[in-house]
Amino acid sequence: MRTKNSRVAERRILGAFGIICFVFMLLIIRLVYIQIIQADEYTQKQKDLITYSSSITASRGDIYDRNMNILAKDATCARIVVYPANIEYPEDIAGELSEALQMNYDDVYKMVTSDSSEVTIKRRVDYMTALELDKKYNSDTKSKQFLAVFEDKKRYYTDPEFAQYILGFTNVDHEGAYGVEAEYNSVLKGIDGVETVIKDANGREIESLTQTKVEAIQGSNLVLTIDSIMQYYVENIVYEAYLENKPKRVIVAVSDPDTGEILAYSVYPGYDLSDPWTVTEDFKKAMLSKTDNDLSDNQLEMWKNPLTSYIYEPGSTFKIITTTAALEENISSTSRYYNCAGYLTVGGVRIKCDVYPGRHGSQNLADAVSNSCNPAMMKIAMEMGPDIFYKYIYNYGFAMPTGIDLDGEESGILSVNQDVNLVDFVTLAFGQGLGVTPIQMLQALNTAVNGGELLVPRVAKYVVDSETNEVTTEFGREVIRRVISESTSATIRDIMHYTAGNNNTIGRYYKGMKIGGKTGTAQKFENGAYLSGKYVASFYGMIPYDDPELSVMVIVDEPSGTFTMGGSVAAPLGAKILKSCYEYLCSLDINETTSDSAEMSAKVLIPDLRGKELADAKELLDALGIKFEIQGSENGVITSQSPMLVEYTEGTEIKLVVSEDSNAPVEMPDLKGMSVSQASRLLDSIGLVCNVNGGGIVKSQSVKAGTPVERGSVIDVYFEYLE
Amino acid sequence: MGVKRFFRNEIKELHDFFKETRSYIVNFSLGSTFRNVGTHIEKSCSDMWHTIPLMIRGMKAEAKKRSDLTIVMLILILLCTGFVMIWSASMYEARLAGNEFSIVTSQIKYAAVGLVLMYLVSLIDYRHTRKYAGFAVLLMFVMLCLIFVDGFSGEVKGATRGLSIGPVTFMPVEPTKIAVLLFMSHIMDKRISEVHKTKTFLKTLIFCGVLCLIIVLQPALSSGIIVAGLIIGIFFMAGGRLSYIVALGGLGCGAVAYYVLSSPWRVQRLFAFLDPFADLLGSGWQPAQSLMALGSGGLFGQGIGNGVAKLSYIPESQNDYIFSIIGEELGLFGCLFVIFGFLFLVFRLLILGLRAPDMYGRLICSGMGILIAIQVFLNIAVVTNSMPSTGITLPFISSGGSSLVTLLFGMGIVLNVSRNIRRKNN
Repeated sequence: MRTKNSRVAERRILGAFGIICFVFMLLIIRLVYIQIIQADEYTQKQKDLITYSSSITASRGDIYDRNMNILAKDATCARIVVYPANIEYPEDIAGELSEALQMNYDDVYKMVTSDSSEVTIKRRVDYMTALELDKKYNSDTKSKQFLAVFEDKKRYYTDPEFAQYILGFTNVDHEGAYGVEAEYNSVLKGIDGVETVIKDANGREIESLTQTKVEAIQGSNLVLTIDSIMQYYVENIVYEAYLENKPKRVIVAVSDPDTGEILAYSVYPGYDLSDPWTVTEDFKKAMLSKTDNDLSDNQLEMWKNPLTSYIYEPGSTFKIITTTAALEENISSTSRYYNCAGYLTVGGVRIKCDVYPGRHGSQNLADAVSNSCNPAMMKIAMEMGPDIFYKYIYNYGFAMPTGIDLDGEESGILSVNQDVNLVDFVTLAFGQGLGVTPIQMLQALNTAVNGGELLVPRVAKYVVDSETNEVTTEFGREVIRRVISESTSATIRDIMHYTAGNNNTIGRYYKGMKIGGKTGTAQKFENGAYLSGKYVASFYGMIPYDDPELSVMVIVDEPSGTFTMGGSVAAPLGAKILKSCYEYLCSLDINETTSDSAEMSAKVLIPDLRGKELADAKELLDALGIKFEIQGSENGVITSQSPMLVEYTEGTEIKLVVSEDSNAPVEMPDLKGMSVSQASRLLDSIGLVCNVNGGGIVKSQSVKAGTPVERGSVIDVYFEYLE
Repeated sequence: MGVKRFFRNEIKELHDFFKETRSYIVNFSLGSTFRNVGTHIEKSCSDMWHTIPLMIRGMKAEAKKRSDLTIVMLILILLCTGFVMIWSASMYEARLAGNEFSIVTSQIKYAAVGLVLMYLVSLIDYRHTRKYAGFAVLLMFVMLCLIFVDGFSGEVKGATRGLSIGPVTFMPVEPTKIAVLLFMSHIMDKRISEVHKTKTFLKTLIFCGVLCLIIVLQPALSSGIIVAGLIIGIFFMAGGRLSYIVALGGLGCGAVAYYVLSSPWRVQRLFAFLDPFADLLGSGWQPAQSLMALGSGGLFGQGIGNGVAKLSYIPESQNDYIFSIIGEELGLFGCLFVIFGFLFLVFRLLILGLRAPDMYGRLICSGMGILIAIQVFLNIAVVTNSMPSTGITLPFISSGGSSLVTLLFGMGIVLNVSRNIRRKNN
């Protein structure tokens, strides 16, 4: 029995169903719009949101010396990243992180509260520290992940004050900044890998979902022309000379004149490879005036490579260039005599000789060079005329980069032939009125003694594939041009041997050695005037003079004290270096044939760690894979080590004696056999003051090894040169 | 019948209503009504008490009658879809918490309890439920008020609070829906002859207003909207005046608009709805994630378990946003399957309403249909960002015990109505 009400209700039910069908239809249309028309757009948006790519830093290639001793190596460390959006209590986290990572609280706080989704807090973090942080913050799976640890690379150098200006260093992005690190960056750096991961909304990685990983490819290894042993000799001798003469700077480069290879190159003061960003105290003291306070300017000044960018007036060493040019053009010969009246008037200007008011009188060519006689050289230059002389100056490679594979090379300063007046032209004959870089001078003088070929100087020898150990590139002898003939070269070598023999120091102490060389002293020219009392003392030497195997360029910038001349400051230094290096070279020739380039297995030279903090030393030894044993405390400074500076053999342990860094009296270390720099560094590091007497290696010390000494006491250390 | 007369009629009815209300209040103050109310409560309590043996005795007879198997099948299909999708949606977060299956297991337990309850309720003659309808609404009202009393309120999820009595914490808004369904069906059936009167409308309005206000204050705006929709729906089914329904709907919309605009937090949500990608990391996060999930699903979906939105991008996606996981993993076809499943269920419920033996049963069945339709519509509208986001579960599919058990309880009553349909072929 259907009532009126139930009929209404039936109609209403059908109506309701109609309405429901209609609204559901709307929903379906909306879904079709989202899932078909907008599908691609939303799929892409979702993909962008959930995928994260991060780069895997490739290991840089190792750097070896010519005997495959390792000089620079990468080790794996960590990069700490935070996701600021997931941090609830930035103050606490910033506090904890700044403490764990030894960073400034304000910097960390700024980073953890920044707007970006991902901030790298610190790179090159020690792996243990990173793992601890990872464990501390990421073990709770419920909270949002705000910290992640990524693999990173850290560069280790076997010695922080060893060949800095050749090796250079890497910047925070692990790219080479200076030295061969920069010059061969593309070879060394390898190819960074990429890791693409899916992350959940809290930043946690989903390992089960697709992750593409492109493995990083390790960079190639680089073998340098540097010989570590020679480099050690040079480093030590340079440091001693620095202490002795108190100059602004000492720059020394040793090369093989036959190949143009640089065998050793040292500068003091310079930067420290373990912390290149800090301007070292010695550099500040010697090179910077008190008004230079801008850190970045000072850093840039310190990082400049003096071998390639320091421009100075060569002075008398340039006379070799003048002489060889005249010999080659047959304008002069060893039988020619030149009269010196103590001065020469050129174009109405009286140009004095060094001996003025004295005079050299009549002298042959060899004596003129040996006497470093300015009037004789001016006469030779005037006989040649500007066109010929300029031709030789250019042919010797002046006024243009040498092409050495080091950073920041300058061209030097030389006024053009047409512009130069007679007075300025004749002074070129004795190396005044032009600016050269040490490497240009070394290259040119090597040319004069090697038979006459101008070579490209080199610091890199091979590029070696890090996987296969095969040589992929060999940087051989590269001749730019022939400048003088063999016979001219032979003549000048004899003259240089004669010249060297007349030098006080070389004549007396290095008589038996076949050293040839030429000194130079140039007044410094600054702000348009020559400065009295400020000199650049230089020396070029080679050994043996009849067939040079080694040559050395020594530049002492502003030596202070009684002796400031090239002959008394630079020549003894150069002779000492030539002697040490040549004796080493001879011992090598006897002991073994020169290293076979096909055999590229790496060797590890155990570095001298005395004076270093144990923690730093540990890190370095771990990176080099050297096993060690510690005696004494687990914390402090290494006072004694054995063995060192020999090749490390697998499976052995080196012994380190460590003294704790506290206020207790320290035990006097045995300094025997150490160089001036090593001894003073070691004593300084354990809180003692080193009073240097003499030079060379330690002969005796005022306090016996093993006795306890109060911190701050002065130790007299006596050095002697090894015969 | 001129317009003037119509209005005169209206005004007269309004006048009567106010007079009656005034006499109510006057009587109440005199105390006589109080006694009347007292006796009334006493009577309904004893009624409820005496009905229990009747219910139990009638069970056997009810069990012999056939219930509507189509509805049972549809419920089971939807439940199973829910289990699979809850497992898929919750496995990542549940695994982080320890057990991948923890959420789907508890959902299955709730479903089992709910299904047993549904069967038992389907054995009780639905006509007995009339006697409990008023009491149920009163009880729910009290519970909704108790939420505001310290000691009874417990966090359940988000801003909505649950009621904790002893060890049990549940959300009274869910059973309120069933109580309202029964109460409205009962009242409308009883007053079917007066359904056109303004008095009835005004009483409905007051009932609806007070109840929705207390629900919205929970705060559970979405449940308030659903309850209001349900009341209006039943009023509509019972044959209430269309002009009143339109007015009521307009009033409801106005109230919602006022409520939304009164809080800056909700205004922000509103803007997020207009362009969810503008404030992706803030209030636009959920709608944007939901859209990306649906969009990346495309036509056929990425396969069950392969979606990524559940990787905490949509937090607790097994609850209100399960439909976007369905869209992501099963695609448009999965979505259409679920929507048509619901549409068929609603259709079936409305058909039952047409065939029900009396007006009470008719209103229960069609009201249930309306309730499910409203919830499904609002849920999918939120998920597809067709309206500002608010927490509404997808019936039978979203995880959550209170809502599932309550719904199955309601379906039990519906199933009993279906048992009592006189079939033509019998």
